[in-house]
Amino acid sequence: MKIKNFDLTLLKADMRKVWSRPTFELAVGLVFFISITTVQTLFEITTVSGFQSDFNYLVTESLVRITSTQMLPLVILSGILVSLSFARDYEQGLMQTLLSLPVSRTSIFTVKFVAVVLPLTLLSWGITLFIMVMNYFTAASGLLVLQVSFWALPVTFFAVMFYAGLASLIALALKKTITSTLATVLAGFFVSFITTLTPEVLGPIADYLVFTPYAAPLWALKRLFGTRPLSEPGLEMNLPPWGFFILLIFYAFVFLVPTYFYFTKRFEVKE
Amino acid sequence: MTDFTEVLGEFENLVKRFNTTHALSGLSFKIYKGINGLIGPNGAGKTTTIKLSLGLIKANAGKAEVFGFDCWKESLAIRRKIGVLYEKVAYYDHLTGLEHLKLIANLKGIPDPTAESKKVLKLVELEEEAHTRKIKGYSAGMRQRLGLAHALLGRPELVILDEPTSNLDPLGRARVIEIINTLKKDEGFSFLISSHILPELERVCEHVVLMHRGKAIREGPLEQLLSEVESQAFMIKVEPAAPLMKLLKAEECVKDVKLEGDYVLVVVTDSKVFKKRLPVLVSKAEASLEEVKVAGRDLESLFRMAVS
Repeated sequence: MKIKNFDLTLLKADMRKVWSRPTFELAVGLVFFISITTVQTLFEITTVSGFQSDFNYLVTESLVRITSTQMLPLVILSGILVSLSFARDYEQGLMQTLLSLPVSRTSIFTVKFVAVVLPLTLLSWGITLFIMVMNYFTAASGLLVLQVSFWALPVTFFAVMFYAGLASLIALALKKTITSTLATVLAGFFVSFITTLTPEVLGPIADYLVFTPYAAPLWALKRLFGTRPLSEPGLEMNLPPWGFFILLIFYAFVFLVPTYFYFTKRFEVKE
Repeated sequence: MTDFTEVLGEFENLVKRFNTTHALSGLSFKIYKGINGLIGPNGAGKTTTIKLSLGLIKANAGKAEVFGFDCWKESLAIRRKIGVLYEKVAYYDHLTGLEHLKLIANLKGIPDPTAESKKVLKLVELEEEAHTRKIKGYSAGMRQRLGLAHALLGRPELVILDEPTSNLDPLGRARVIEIINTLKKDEGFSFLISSHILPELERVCEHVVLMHRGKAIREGPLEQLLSEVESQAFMIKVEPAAPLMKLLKAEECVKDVKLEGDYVLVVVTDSKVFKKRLPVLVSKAEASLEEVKVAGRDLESLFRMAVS
């Protein structure tokens, strides 16, 4: 079946190739394990907390922490898998075969990107929904849990898009599976690592780390539910919740759009 | 038979550099309807030429046209009319051969992918295995035949085969060559076959281009080129070889002299004069002549002669 610039049969074949054993099992296991361990924390909060205001704060914080923990394997996985999808095909020669067919580069790029991002997003959403259902029955404030979990869905999607976009650029530039996978993982770790740096290390620049691709999705959630930082409010309070979402959309496409043109306009062709 | 009036592709003064390496340095040749051979050692620029003709890479200079389309700007139009088998052949290994071909047929926009896939599988004699077995379980020969089927899908106007037999054992090679021969005779396909395994190309090609260091050093109908070898290259067994070689190099009718094993290969411009002069030179060199023979009438000799 063919939709304009998109071939579903090719997508299916590519998805089966990228998500072949044991990749699929490892990805599900990793994301599920990391997510499920954080449910316990939330359950404890709901049973020990006394005051409603503290309770709301702690539940939101805890749910954000669940998203945060889940995001780490997701961003790393999206990086690795996109890198494998593009770079491995160049190395094995399948990309050369596909590019020699009367198929547009747009179609090939879209299929390869979607083949990773779509299942990964669905995996993340599936697990988030599972946790949401579990929390709904265990937490005292079911509605709040539902709300935070609902907003966690687009947040994780944008984060996956960002890292997948970055990974595709690295993979297309390097065209070597191992090198691009390592470079992507390092880039993923670096982006999440810098958010942990303190003003003692970075000075005033540290305030801006709330807008980085790893911290911004979490702040989008926190700001949406009115969670204020326990310490002195920082620059994050200057940006409204929807501002953070606009930032996330920007991040989702910041590498994807240049990479798309890099590939479809054949700038990636080695000279 | 090759139709030398119908040109499918034309390359003029193509230059392609990869950083400091010159892959092509002024390559010019034509592809005709029929069986064309692109012959040369590894690194001669054959694969670069193929990639260039499909718009996968861009030439630094020169003109490259296939079916009248510019190879870089109108590559999609060219790819609609061409089927390719690369030396480094890769598939969706989790699919069966038939499933893979159906996928490719679908991407090529062929109306009935299943029927077309079955048809080409029959041509390459891979019908049974392709229906049930996954590609990851195929032998090298089966993978190569599947690649050939892949290239034949949709009956392209030109089939490009890049080193189609290089990964195969002698039996596998013979089988692929046999299939190409049958396709040529019975189905009338046009091919551009690149290879460094010359005896095999000799069995199928009608028009050949000899490539060396990114240039076409000879081009023409195979028969015509081979007849040149017959009259212009000689193998001489002589003891000692060095003094005679020195004298031969000074002769006007001698184009090149090279030691190849026990023999001295002599490429001449005028064989009649050479035949007269040889006994004189042997005696002058105080050498003993053991054997003189015309160099083999084959592509290998032709290539050696052309390179010299």
